[in-house]
Amino acid sequence: MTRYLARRSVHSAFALIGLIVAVFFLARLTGDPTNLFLPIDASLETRKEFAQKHGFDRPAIEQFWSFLEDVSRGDLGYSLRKQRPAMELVLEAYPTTLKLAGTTMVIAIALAVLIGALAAYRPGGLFDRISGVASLAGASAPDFWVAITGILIFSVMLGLLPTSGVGGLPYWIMPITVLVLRPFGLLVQVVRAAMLNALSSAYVKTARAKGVGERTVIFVHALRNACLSIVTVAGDLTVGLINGAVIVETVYGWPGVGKLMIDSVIQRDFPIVQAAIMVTATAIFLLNIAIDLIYVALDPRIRHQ
Amino acid sequence: MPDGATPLLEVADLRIEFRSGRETVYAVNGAGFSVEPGETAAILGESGSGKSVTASAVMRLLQCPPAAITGGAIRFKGDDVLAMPLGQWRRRCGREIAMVFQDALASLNPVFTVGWQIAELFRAHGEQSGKAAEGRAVELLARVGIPDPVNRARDYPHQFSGGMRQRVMIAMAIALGPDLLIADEPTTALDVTVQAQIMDLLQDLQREIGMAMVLITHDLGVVADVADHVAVMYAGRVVERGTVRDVLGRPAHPYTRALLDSVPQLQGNSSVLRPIVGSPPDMAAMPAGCAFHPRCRFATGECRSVPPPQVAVAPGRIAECHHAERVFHGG
Amino acid sequence: MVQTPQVTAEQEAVAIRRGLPWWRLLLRDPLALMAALWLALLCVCVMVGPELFGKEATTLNLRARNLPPGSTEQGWLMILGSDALGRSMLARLIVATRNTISIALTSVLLAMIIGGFLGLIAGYIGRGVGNLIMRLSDIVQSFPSLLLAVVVLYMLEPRVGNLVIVLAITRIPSYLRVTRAEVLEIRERVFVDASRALGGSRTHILVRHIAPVVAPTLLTILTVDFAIVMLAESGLSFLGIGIQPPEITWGLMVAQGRNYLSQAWWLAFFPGLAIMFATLSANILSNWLRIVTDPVQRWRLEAPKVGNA
Repeated sequence: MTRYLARRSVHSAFALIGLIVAVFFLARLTGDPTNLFLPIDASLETRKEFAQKHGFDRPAIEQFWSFLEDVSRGDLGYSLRKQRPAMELVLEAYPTTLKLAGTTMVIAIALAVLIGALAAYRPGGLFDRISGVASLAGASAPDFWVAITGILIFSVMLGLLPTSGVGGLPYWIMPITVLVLRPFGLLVQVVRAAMLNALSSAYVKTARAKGVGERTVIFVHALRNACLSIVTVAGDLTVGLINGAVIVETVYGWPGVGKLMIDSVIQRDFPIVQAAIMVTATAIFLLNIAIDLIYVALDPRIRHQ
Repeated sequence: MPDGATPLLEVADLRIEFRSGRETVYAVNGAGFSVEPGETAAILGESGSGKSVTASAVMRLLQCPPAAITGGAIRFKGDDVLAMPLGQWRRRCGREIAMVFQDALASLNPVFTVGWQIAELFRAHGEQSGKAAEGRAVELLARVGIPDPVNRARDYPHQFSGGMRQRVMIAMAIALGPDLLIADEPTTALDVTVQAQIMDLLQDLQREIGMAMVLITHDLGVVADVADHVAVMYAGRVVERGTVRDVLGRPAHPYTRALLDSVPQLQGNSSVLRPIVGSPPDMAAMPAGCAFHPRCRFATGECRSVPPPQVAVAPGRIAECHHAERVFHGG
Repeated sequence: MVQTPQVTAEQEAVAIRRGLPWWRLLLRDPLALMAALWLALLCVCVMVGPELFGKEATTLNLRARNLPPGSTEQGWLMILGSDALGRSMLARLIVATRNTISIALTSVLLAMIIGGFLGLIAGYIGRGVGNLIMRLSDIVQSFPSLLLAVVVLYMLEPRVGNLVIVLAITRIPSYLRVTRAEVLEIRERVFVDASRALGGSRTHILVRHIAPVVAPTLLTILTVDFAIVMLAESGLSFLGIGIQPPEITWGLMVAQGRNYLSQAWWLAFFPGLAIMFATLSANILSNWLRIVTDPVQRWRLEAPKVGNA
């Protein structure tokens, strides 16, 4: 078991490191790196000065080394716009994004499990059709458009919900609803397939032969086995959720990492962009490890390998 | 056979189909047999004869669709099994009637401990829960001969050997002392020495609890050893019924004859193996008349077109053949 | 897999076994048929849209400013409304079809070609090169695609070419995996038979054997990816990081219309709706493709089981 976990961690770490290296070199090898930091109309003089000050004229390997040194100290650069360390700004914005993403995933998983299980129990029935429509909608609807249409209908026309901003429950309703669509749509199909598989298995037959009630058969015997495939997909979906979070935060004005990153891109504040990428990549790395641990906890067969 | 007493289990003219796409497979075409309290009845047949499907149907464990019970009746203790609400029947499963399956590894839930799965019997039927149920699970493990039951109860199915797993399944089945145990090829997947142990265990438990057993198998030897009555199935029908001594000693159906002839003898002059020629019929496209006629050495023109009648060659002996008398009298 | 309720997988498989040509199969599923027709219509718009409607999409018409949808006094072209400069929304939508669809289509085709090729190499050569390719593919797959695109476009300016390449890169891993898996499997089979006689033309055999097997799956992935890339490009353009004016795509139109949400809601609504219809059609068609291609193999392998008597 530890060998399995170790192997997977190394695998994920490789991806993490690869990404950081890629970002570093891409930033410095594509034309003039000062482009990323200075406004487009900056003069040649300003650029030269900047390049010297930040060591862009040194060989790439040397730059990489001092970059690694900085990273190990937690120094990911200084935001020129905001005059604060980039890392600080990113870590400040992260809790908002985590709250948004976390709540969304919990709701998406709960709904998907419920509806997917019921859809698998009666293929062709009501819940099966609901899950079919939902996943089609989730996979096709442009999230930014749904968000805007939501604002149009519920804020502008009906005045029921606020257009944007953070606050109490009314401020959460639209962002969460928009963000939930895609993961729910995709997850409900996975749950349905995994449950269909589990419900036609031999151990479910045994459970029924033992006289176990149908609800227990579905939600204990079958679901517990379906969990394995569900967890894997849920992990991927959480990563994909960041895409949606970027849009939702931007449209609804939530001060999370997504909005921070887009703003920084538009304002050409590279240190923040770089810091955001690294923090996100690290978060994903930790998430993958967490998923692997959950997997081991769920499947006793892996534990005894 | 005791007269007048209600049989524990009675299956009459059972018909089961499997529909998938355009094809319909007629898995069971009018099977019938009965079991008395305390006795061991065997259902003997090769792969594809419909015996396992019949057993699953009795417990109402078939997935419908694609399966569909299209005719016949099943009576357990006089009650119509197919007519009663499923929930009501399920409450009796595990308690009054239980089943042991062939592949114990697939039939046990891989993510729960063995102790938990056995204790579930008590939890599900409102007998005990928590520690008490666990305690009884450990007792059952000991009863079926699993060493170190206290620790083993905390293990998972994949940590047991094939024979041990089968014992676990048996423990689950007998936990509430059912009146009838259906064992679907309980030893087929095991090796020979373990087979004998399991059959011994089953017989022990049967005597101890006083339960009847329906043993589904393709193994003549097991039938001869263990069973009181036998029903021979071919192509979804019961082609011969009677006590084991009578049927195996003096078969009245060509198929039973052929089965007996094909068993290698230790004594005698047989250097020749006599397998049954041909192969089992395609259950989606059954021949008209008798299902066995293409492979039967007694077959005549009548057998090709007219379904064979049920002939009572002796009291309690029924064979479904145009030539039952001939076969019975050694022809 | 999403079930299109009208036609079940079984009925389709039966029809396929009867050897019906693909267009007959399409006719049997009304939803898929509508999706295919819609996409065909979009293709027509891509080809002749800007030529036919270019003028109406760009000329100012101050008499027709800010018309809400449904107004026909200024001509049928204003059926979806007009913007502050009097330009017909319908015309602008049709003209923007070219960019929107072309970018998405080019990206997925590029991804399929490159991904397929890399998958071939990774599967056939294996070991060092193969592993490296898979690791790189993992890196791309492990990171949210939108963020990846945002960062790369930041570093390489948001030109159309870069946009297409970036979008393609995010989709390469799916083709890569499928192709590699197929190659690995076929390598085992064909190799044994062909080893002696064929020697050097092994590659030829692999290509000739793999293509027919992988093609249907790749096609199905392509339709799904088309929807994904359309949504990605729209999202990026909406955020201001994708297509830049004066080029126009539906995503950018939504961004531009957003500022007028309370006065002229149709400016943001219809472009988004157009995106939705396109992606919906692509997804419906991909479900149909999956039913048409997959169960044929599955059906042949699955003999009807008699419940293990």
